[in-house]
Amino acid sequence: MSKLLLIDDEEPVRKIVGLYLRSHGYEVFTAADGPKGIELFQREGPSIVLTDIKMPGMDGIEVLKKIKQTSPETEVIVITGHGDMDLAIQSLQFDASDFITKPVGNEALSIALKRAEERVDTRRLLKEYTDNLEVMVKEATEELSKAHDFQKNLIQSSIDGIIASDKDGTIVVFNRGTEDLLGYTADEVVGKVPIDTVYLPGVGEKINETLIAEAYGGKNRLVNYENVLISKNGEEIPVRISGATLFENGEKTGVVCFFQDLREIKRLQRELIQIERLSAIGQAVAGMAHYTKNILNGLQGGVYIVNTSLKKDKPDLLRKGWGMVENNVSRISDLVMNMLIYSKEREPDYVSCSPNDIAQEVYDLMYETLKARSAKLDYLMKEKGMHPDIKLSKDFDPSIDECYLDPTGAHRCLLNLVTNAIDACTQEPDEDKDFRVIIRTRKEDDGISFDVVDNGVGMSKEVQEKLFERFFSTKGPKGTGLGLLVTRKIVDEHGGTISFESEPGQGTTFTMHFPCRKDSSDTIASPV
Amino acid sequence: MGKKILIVDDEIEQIEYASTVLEASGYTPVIAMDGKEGMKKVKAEKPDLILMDIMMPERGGIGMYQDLKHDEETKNIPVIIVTGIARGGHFDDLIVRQGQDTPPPEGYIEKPMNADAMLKMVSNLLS
Repeated sequence: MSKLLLIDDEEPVRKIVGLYLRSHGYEVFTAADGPKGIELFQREGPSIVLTDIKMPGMDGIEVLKKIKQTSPETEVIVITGHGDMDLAIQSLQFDASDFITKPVGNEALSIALKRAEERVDTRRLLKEYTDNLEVMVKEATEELSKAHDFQKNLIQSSIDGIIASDKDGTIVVFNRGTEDLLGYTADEVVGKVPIDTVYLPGVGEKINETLIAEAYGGKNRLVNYENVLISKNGEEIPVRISGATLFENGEKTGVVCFFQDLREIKRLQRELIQIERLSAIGQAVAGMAHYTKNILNGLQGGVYIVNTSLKKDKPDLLRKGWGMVENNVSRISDLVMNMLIYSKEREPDYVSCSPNDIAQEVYDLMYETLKARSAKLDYLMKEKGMHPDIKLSKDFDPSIDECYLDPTGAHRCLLNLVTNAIDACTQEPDEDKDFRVIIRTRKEDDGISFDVVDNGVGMSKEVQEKLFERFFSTKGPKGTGLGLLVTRKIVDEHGGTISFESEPGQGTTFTMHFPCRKDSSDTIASPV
Repeated sequence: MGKKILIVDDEIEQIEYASTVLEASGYTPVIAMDGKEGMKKVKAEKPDLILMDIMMPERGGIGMYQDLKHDEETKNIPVIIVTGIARGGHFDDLIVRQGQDTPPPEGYIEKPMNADAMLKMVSNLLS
């Protein structure tokens, strides 16, 4: 229930109007003059005051002024006599809410009250809203300051260096990480020097250009760009830079850059390369040593038998011993040839030649080797057919023309692949297989291909993955791991490709593709 | 007929060398090219000594050695292991014996094989 104060010197008015107001739900307080009215007002704090203007002593205008002075939000409605227009206007100037004329009509009173009520409500709502707004602003400010502190902490405690610059390029944020990285304190640089101070000449511009462009992480972003920063004492520090353009209301306000110190990473990388190099050399030397030892073993055997033959005068032993010497000399020359090619001592020599002739040479050579092996096995085992023969066959495409190849290199490649194919057959535990190795040549649109097909032991996934690694061999001390490396190198030098398909227990097919060149001036792109 | 020596190796060059050296000194070499064939020949030929390479594909040499030393019929045949690994006998010994269940071989000889040293070891083990 709203409180209402009615001040009037005429008792009948107080009575009648008071009755009317009470009947409309107001808690009505009445006063017969100004000072009493003010006293009641101060005690009860009504939201609406109805006051007569013309009263003895303190008049209505005075009452209005006093009330408005202490409580401007109170609705004061003045009651004027008929024709007191000047007073009515005056009261409005002193911020009365409304005026009604005597005799007070119910309708006019009701309208004035309604308006006053509305204003009270509006004012209350407005006040609530304002109060809320204040709380919200306070809360938001607290949130904001929390977020700001958090972000500030985040920036400060980042191990990576963070520098932000404004749109003129002046440093505005310089975190602890950057202090540690570059040796400046934030106080020395923030707001004082341009960000270009920490870059090599031109790098700052380059970063800005890259930020503008789409490349390196998209527009307004820069991701993992490697460069150096200049420390306070002039040291160049390798860093990985990421950055972003900062915007406010769609307008560029600056740039923030993040710097990751790469000194330790670079040092580890150098160390790793060194270790890898040493370990590769060690591995290669160990492989060569074992393989050479095997050959040496055979050579020593041959020499021993030749000596025995001379000592004991047994000429049949001489032939055998000499055969062993020859055989091992050819093995060592194969090894040295592969080593030379691999070590780049030998320059490829491109001449016009027939790929089929090269394949035929390898076929003839390996055919004789296999025949000798079979005869030797039969002799050693003292019975025939203990070990299955490996059948070597050829399938040459007669339409292949001459083309520019390095014949010695191509011969070497094919020889290595056929040797591997034969070894794959001897390593297959299933001895009932009819082992076969096929050398095939094929003419293709853009060159020629050599296939070497075997149905030997095949390769597991693990072996296939490691196949072209440095000095990888499945043959233990009986291989160097050099054969495929050399083959690949030669194929690469020709701008060709080498590929394979293999299934454990089923066999392997290697394919070398060489692009065909029409003349020697058609230079070969050097492999990267 | 001299004493029978079984040579087990997957490399023809090695077999040729060992068999020629042994034959020239009056022994009778018998040949096998993997562990499976080796075991067959041991049973069929009953050699007096076995000279074997351990590094053969498919764990052939190691398997054969294990079988030999755990078989009553064959465990007393002296075995010389030909090793290409220049790491001394100890490493190979562990590989060959796979722990301590299997007795060590009677001899080790390293590649490149010195023929005189090999002959001397053979004749010592057979006497």
